[in-house]
Amino acid sequence: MKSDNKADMKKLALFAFLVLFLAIPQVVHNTYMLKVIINVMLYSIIALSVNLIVGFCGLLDFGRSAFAGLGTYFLAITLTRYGNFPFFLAFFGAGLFSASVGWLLGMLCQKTAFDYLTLITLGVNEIVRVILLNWQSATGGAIGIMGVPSPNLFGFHFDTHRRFFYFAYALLAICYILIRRLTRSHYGRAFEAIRDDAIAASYSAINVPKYKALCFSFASFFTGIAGAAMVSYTNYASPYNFTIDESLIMMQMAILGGLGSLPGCILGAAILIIAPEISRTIYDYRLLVMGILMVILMVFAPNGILGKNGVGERMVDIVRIRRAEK
Amino acid sequence: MSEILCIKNVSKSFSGLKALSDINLSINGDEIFGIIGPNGAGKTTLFNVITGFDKPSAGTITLFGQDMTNKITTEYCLSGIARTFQNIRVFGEMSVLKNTMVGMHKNMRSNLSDILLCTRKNRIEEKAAVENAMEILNFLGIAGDAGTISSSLPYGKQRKVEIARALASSPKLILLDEPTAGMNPQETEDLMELVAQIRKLGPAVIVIEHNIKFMMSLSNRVAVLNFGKLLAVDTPENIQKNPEVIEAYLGKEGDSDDVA
Repeated sequence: MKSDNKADMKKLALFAFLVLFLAIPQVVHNTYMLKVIINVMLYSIIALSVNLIVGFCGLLDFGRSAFAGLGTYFLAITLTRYGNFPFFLAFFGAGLFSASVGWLLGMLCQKTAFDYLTLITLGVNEIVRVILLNWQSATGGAIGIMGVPSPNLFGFHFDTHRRFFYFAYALLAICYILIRRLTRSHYGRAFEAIRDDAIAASYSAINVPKYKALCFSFASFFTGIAGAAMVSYTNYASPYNFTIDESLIMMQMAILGGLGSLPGCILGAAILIIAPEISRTIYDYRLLVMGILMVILMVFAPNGILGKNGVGERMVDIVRIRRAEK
Repeated sequence: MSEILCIKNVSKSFSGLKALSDINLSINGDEIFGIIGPNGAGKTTLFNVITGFDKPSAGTITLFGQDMTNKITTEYCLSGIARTFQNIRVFGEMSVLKNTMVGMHKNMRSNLSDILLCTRKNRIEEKAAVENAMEILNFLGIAGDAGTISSSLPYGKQRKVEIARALASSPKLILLDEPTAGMNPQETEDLMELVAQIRKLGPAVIVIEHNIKFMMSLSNRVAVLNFGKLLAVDTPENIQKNPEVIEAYLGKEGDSDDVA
């Protein structure tokens, strides 16, 4: 059938793209470009986690960067302080640590109203940042932690840009698949139900406070993992990376791409990371540019580029109309 | 058949306003039970109290033999009660199919590892859930809208989506709050037929309605509420002849020249 062929073609095209993407480090030797792409991949994971909370569960979370910081520092501290700490444990532990704090936050805020939860996430972000900055004995304070090792799995060191590219690629693929499975399960439907109508959700036997905490927890696992991956790439943990500004940028990546759209997260991350790199002017004025982008989006595509009535859908409609006219 | 819901001496006050006074009701597992009364009589409040949404100020609620008086809505629904709302509460951004599948939430057995690893158990369960949901949508006549986003549907269909979601949880008791509100006579007829069929499928039904024809032809028994008090509980025929009920709706003879 015609539509089946189209779907198969799409899958084939996607598969081809993913395979070709793997060839990039063999062809591109410019370290700077590899670094940008790796950043896009790692930030995509964070954007996915933001999407889970904001897009699927409808909770406004302005403190994502704090959870990335928790993951970053967990890995940094365990690997630099304890000589033979296995990387795999530190990496997973970073995710679990971040997830536990997310769960705690969710449980403490069970009865908190929507607006106040938003303020609390801002507060959490600041609290974490200040702790990271000042708890010198544990975190190294303003100096941060240097010499954080690159990933070391099963004896294989991902210590070059090229090797780390594959690490980040695999990580993004795994996280994407897991989050996708989650959103397509009854857990995902429960999150969306809470977003659309929390009262009706409780009448479907969904324990709303528990599921909100679960959502925070799941998302924070991935945020923590991404934070850990980032520090094992840059090899340096700094408290200055985990500000509210960072959280806002993370949120904008998810919103730009389209809340509720998983591919949108990658698109949003790509746009917001690559654009400032292309233009020095955009970089200097990036907060202004992002602000203007947001306003344009709100007017023309309020659900993001790949969201409902977004650029993606409009382009498909235009193509369909042109075809029909022929 | 035996009693499934026992409402004993239930009162509910909201900061001094007594919304329900000393309500005593016993619902059987095989009946369609109607609740009528003027606006503001406390009908929806009663629904809220017997589903854990509001806690009763006094009295007890026993559902399927268990004391549920201080339990929350989630626990009531886990026991097998489902409800629709006066102002429709569908999950607006989700498709009709997904709305229905949310209703099945309590019966989904896959745990987190099943989902993340996409085990056979999970895939089988999801497939069965979709089939089950489509069956329910077929029964309600909205299977064609399965992929449509709920908020874009007309009012009457949204009402059916709500009912589909309620049915999906395989409840033993369904509460319908003014299901015919905003419907034309044809839609009301269809809904009456639907409610009769739902009762045949299994669950007992409690309906709040203003539509007298709906009440009288469908209900096995009817309760009349006024100002939070229970005026009468009887068969539809007797209720229609009850002088207190007539007074509540139409006023006392001699009050106005319009009363025949």
